[in-house]
Amino acid sequence: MSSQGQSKAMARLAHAIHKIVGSCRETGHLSSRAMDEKLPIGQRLRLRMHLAMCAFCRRNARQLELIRQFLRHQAAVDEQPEPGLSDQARQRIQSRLSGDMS
Amino acid sequence: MTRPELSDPGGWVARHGDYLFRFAMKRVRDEAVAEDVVQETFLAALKARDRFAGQSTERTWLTGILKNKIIDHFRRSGREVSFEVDDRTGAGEDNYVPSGPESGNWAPDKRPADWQLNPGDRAEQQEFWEYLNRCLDSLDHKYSLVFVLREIEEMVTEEICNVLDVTSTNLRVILYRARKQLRACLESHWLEKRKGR
Repeated sequence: MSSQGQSKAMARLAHAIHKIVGSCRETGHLSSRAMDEKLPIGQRLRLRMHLAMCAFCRRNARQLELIRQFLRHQAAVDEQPEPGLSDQARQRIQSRLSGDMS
Repeated sequence: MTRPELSDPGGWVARHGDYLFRFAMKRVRDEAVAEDVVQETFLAALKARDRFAGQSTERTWLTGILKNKIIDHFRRSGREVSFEVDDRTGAGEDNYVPSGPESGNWAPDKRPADWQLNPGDRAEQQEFWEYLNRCLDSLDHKYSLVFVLREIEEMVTEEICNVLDVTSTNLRVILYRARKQLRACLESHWLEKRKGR
């Protein structure tokens, strides 16, 4: 097969695969949606198949999940290095509270 | 077992102020707003202290009140923002090849890089956290409101639609774009800096 014929055949193959498992663009949207809702079975399968064969989309989905896990973990723990109330705010709140107590 | 009782309210700020402030900051992401919701929390708790049933600790009880104050803040902020998104421009679609045989594939310069974040490395985690915060603060306000409620508050989409008065279609688009921007921001700032070392 000539190289031109080869690249045409490759393009046709890629097109056929996209028809089954969706494009990376579609997968990007589905990856995001799947984080918020349960996808219908057909879309779930397309997403899973695409991710199984596309390293970039797999990375994208993993990184979005990593960001989520990181944020949720940080929101759940109370880390000392994060600054607390400023002295000013502390005094202001304290005197408001004391005012309401009396 | 004795039921937990409330301590003297005069000592609340010293005992729980920093904790509640940090809790609020991670969600409202603004110092003045965080101070306000913490103050509102103490004042509301003072009024409601007769109703404290002793079913949780004092701090958990205060945190519960704070959570409601934070949601109220989001509800108010939601009213000041338009969540309309333009679907036609295809904004947010620039990660992919627009046409031709490669149409819909990742554009070569947009392909996600391998982050290789080491889960055991504390310093690396801290740095990632700093960049994540900066990137989150760089998001458009309407994006960050939605994103925080979904990813940090772990609200389901119906609740977010209700609190922010946004349609589920727009919510979906906003979440997609917020995630995409955040990922790209981390890649171009955090990852670039790490590579530069």
